[in-house]
Amino acid sequence: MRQETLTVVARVKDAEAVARALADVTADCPDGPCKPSLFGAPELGIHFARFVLLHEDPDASPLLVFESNFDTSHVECALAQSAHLALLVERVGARLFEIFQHCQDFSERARFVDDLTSQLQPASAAYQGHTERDLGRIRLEQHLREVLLTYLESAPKQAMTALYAKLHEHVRRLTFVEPRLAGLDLTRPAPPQPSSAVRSQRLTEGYGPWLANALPVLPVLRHFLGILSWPFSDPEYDQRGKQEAWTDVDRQRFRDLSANEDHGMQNALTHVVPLKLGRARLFVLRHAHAYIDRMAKRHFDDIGQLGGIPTIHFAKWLLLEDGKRLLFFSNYDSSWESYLGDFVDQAAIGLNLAWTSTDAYPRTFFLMAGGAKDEERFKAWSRAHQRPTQVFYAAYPELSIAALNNNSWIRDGLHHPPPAGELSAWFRRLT
Amino acid sequence: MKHQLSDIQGLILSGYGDRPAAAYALFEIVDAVAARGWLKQTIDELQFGEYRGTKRSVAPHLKALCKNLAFTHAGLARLGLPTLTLNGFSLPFQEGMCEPSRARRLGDDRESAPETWEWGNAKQRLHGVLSVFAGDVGDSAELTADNYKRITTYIKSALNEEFGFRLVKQLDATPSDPVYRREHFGFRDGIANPQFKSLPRAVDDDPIAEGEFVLGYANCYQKLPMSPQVPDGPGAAEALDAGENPGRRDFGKNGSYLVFRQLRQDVPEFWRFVERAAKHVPDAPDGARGREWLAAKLVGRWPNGTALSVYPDSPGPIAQEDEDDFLYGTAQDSFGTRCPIGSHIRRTNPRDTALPVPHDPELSGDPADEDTRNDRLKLTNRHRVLRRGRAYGPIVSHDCDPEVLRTTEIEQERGLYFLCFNANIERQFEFVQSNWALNPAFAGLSADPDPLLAASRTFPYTASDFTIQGCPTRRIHGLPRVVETRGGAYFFMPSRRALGYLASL
Repeated sequence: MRQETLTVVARVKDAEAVARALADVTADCPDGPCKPSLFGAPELGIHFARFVLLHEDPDASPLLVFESNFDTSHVECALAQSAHLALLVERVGARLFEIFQHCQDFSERARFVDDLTSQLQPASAAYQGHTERDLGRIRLEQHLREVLLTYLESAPKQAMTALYAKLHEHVRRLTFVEPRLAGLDLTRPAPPQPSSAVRSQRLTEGYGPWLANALPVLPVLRHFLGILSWPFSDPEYDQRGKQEAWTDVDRQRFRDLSANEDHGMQNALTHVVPLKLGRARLFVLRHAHAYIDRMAKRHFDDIGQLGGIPTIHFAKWLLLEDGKRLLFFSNYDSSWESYLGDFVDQAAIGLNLAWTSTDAYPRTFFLMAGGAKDEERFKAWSRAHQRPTQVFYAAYPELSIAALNNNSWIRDGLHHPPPAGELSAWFRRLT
Repeated sequence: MKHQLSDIQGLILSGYGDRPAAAYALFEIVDAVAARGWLKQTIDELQFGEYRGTKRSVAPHLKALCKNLAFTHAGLARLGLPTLTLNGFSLPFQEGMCEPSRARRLGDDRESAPETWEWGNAKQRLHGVLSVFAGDVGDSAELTADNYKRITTYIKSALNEEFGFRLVKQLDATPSDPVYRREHFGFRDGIANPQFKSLPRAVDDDPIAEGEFVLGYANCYQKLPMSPQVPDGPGAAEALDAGENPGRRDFGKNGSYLVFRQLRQDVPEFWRFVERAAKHVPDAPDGARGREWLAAKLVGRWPNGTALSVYPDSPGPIAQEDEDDFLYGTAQDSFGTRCPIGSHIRRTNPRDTALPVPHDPELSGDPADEDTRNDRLKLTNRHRVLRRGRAYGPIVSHDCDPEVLRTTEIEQERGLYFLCFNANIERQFEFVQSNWALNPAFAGLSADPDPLLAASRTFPYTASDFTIQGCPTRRIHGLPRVVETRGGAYFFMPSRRALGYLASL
């Protein structure tokens, strides 16, 4: 089964009523702060979902943004999205309508699916860190690892091949009696994730894919001279000035963001920033994002790292209000500090490309250099444009990407016994 | 930095191993005018870093009484620093260690919750800490007792109402012993501290950019860390270096953030657990050796300090500093088969461990490749701290006999005054604590918190396993909480010139 993402953006009629309705959702979290029961039914197939209420433009009413990252058997994106919306409305429509009824263009409960569909907004670029893993499979593989490690706790020391054979037999027997291993059939090939051959190939390609997939970004050369001159005309982000002017309101905002974070392995980043003025910037951004999107789909998704960042489950960029603002949603592992550190240490070039056309972004050179390399300034800019995520749902808040992918490789090794020389590499994964 | 030593407070540059007696006096400023007056008189008495420019045998030497001074954000406000300067400090320092989200992220929950702290909680007014060190290596017990009396007398004579202070609490450290050098669980401590790049050092090991620990210098990103500024003007401001902005002076330069935590250790509980758990690990040697083996796996070192990566089967000869210059890759230990991935020393300083996925060389590079190792080391070195802590409470077994440690219950509290310096609290101390020590998913693990610092914390989710990599991999369950936070705060330790500025306000 594959995973797809959707985003609904609605103009709010009554912001207070929406805020109250969202508070009702977060109040109903019997299994922890990032598990609102609204999204918890397994048949919905939701990995991550969120609601955010954005009030960026003081002269306009706020926006309500809803995202869901979900399992689907549909190959085509549009079909997957409408099927998911229909399923949501069927199962939790009443509770969702409690929220959306306070938005423009959501008049009738009977038209709810259509109204949601018409407010869908496409992502300008999207990435997923573990393709082909539906919720059921993730749970199964998590339990499989547990079964193996428990067995090893008391297994006598012995030759690897012998131990492997015993483990295999132990699991094979359990598949018939252990309901949590239902569906695991070691006699058949392992499901794709993608294949290790594809991943190995991607990992050895170096910069090749950056060139091979560069077609969508080439049109930006139309603004070649502008791109060269922007570093000299754009003002630098005034980290110090902004910080020295902090008021209690700013401090409260930081506390609110912080209070929302780190209630499980994963966090939600919601980030909104206006674009720099001028059509050229929007043009550059659109093409840069098309490039990132293509790299994600053709390269990064297969490795499970976005430009070297190994901790993102689902991420996407989205233009709001005809390209006035750029919205970024990320569902990532570990703390904000560690995530932003990875941005700086691993992926500065790609991020620069994604954000260089936005307001006050730390200065870049030729769209890719500089920028996020300025660690403190980049973090300050990021935090300043971060917005609270009012509702955040994470289906497996104790599973990091590293563990999730590793679990799949462990399973893979039971379906396809590794040759003796690779057995130790497989055992190493049992950690 | 070499030419600025006399501007940097001494504790940042060394732990004063030559001064065995130590106490930390926490204070409140009740009268800012009087306190500034006292400060003015006292600056010259404080210990600055000149002594680090020369060999130990060559002057300038340490003063007989080494004193250092640091303030909380509230303390600097009380002394009268302007808002723009106060806002220029890092956010964690402004918010404080006991801010609820921060406390949660540091694992300070339940028995460690700030509301239960003996000091540093939100209700208490805490403005600074005066650290005082005295004595000489080899002092007799009597002399040491006298030194503590001298320290106490000094603290009482200084931090009193006459000078505008109220003494909140005096924390006496256990006299340090250059031979013993153990923390209470019985392990050698104080190994693997980073070194300043440009200062003379005993061994050429582990040099880190100065700006990681002292404001005013390039950090590991070759950038100057954010430093608070003061408005330029006649008088004490003129002594400060020019600031980043015109019309401003650099208040932060040569200062550093001091993280101070009082960590109570439950020694018998630790050894009771180890004793119990060792019986369930098939590979553990029998009896007392099994206990030592498992404890070493949890810590990552043998009790005498020698690293498991270098001496996997039994303790090596007493650790010399330079023996600690190892990488996991060169020690054939990239995957934790010697020093477990989740052990205390490995997760608080992972060196060249591939993060977040050490067990997948195809993804994270070949540990046999030197460039790969150095790249990883460069990344983990962005999260280092300079530790300057000392133990407190009585030592029950000078030869660290686990049997004695396990069975001796004492009334008095014991633990560690954890002190460390860093220039970026979020990227350094808090990162190590949250993302490495507390994180049960550290380096591809799933439910393994730091076995000493972090068992059974609710952040980010409750976990208490420990995995011993190998074939077969072994796992133990039910790690108990053996360390609890009893107090803590973030301080800033200003430079000599910045202290002069404060005194002049």
